[in-house]
Amino acid sequence: MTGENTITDDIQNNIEKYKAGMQIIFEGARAETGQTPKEIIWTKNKAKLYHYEPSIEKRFPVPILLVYALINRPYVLDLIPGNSLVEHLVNNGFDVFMLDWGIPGDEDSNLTFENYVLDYLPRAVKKVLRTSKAEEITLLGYCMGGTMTAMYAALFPGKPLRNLILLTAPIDFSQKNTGLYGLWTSEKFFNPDHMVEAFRNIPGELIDTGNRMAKPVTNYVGSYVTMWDRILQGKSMDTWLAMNKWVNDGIPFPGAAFRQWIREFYQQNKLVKGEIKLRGQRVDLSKISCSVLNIAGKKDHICTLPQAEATMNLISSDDKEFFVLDAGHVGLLTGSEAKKTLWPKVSNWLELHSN
Amino acid sequence: MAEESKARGPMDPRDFWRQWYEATTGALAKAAELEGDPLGITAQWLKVMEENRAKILAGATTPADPYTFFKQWYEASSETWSKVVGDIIGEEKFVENASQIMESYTSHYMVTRRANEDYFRNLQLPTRSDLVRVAEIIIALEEKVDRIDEAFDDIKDGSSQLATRDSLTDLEVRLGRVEKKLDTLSSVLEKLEAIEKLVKHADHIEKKAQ
Repeated sequence: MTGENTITDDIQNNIEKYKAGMQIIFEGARAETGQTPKEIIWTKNKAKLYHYEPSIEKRFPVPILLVYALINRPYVLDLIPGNSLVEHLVNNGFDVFMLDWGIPGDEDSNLTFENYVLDYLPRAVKKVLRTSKAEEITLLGYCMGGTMTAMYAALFPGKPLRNLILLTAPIDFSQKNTGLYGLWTSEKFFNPDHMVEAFRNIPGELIDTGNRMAKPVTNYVGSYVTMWDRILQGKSMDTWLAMNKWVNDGIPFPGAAFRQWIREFYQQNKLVKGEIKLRGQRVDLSKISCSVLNIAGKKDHICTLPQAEATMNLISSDDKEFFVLDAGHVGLLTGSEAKKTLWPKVSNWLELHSN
Repeated sequence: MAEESKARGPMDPRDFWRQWYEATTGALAKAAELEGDPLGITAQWLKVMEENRAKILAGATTPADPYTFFKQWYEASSETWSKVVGDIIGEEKFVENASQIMESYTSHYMVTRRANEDYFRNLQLPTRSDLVRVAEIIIALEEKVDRIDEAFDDIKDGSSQLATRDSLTDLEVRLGRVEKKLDTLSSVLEKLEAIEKLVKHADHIEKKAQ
């Protein structure tokens, strides 16, 4: 009788697990993300500036402003409790802010990098300084957010910018460095004007498909093999669910900015040549003189190692460090490895540069 | 009865898989023969399937549990698949085809969007473009409010300074003093003018007397 019960329980248990897996496949991953307590201190159009509530007394006078990309959502920086870079920084006594660009609508299809770098970022920096009652600031840009903060740092060198942290920030877009993206976006095969004319803003799903196609087997199959593996072995699904939610949470890319991103960055590689001009102001990366921590992932296929490394020869900072992790574009930011490598690296470097 | 049940009994998973494998690969090979395989995808697929079958069959046991079997198959094949797919999507020919598909999709999307816009406009209904125009006006208004907010922030931060009541009173007092001085100057000037007139008058009398 006991044996029969055990078999029945096993079957029931497996059915439950199967149901859980199928529910994720059909309904999508659900997870409570971005839970570190915060308040919105400024908004501009769809953009929001968050100030994270301190969990301990502020230990460092220089606040940190996290700047995210225009692709996907910024909560990957504050994924879930226990797996959040934001939470780690807050718990270490830093005053942390984050700029969320929001979800653009069709009315934002004319937004360009001029708007983001010359209008939004300087305003956000001012708000941070005012809220934190600080005179200097650390900017931490992730992915395209890193490219944007580098441009800001080149256009507004000196005070109040004290430190710049670039996390997998693509700077050199020469075709030999950009891998598949370089081929897919080459002038020969890709005309961003047609897409912008058709869609106004480039749909998030399209950008997402492009990113997944760079590693199709891993992204379309491997991810779900991991899911079933975790479900069947009864392991925690929290991080997997949060990551899967984030991966599928693509947002539209404002048309005009997309056109610039493809044409001026990918196709013409203007940034390293010093040919990017924002409202007539030349973005000269050699103007960057603040302390810089540049972090890249060996397995990153979205911002390859040489794309990020190029920054080191272009800036004129005396205090600069290039730190390489054996991880991919997102893997370096979250998960158990990130806790042991990236997070302590960032907080230790900041401790030395924030007094 | 026992014989019948044996005949209908659960199939050996390996036999089942072998049957599935042969049916699938056979159909794919035939399709490639008949319809051509310009990118060589089917040929590569079949090659990888064959390699993976060999890898799995080389293992000591084949699990009956379908998930474990699939996982084994994935682990045995994912690296090869990644390489094959990577090679295919990294070829100019593939990108050229994908680009053409994307171009025709965007053209179709654009035509449909314009047609829909025209249709709703003719029905005198607001379209997405109309909403965009309204939203743009609101954003422009918000932009103005934000500038005012920034100006207030600057004032509060001391970048711009507002006149205080004290400073205005001080200015008033100083202005009063200047006014008094001007009055004095004016009266002096008047006296000077009067003296000048008297001098002129005296000169005139003197000339007459001569």
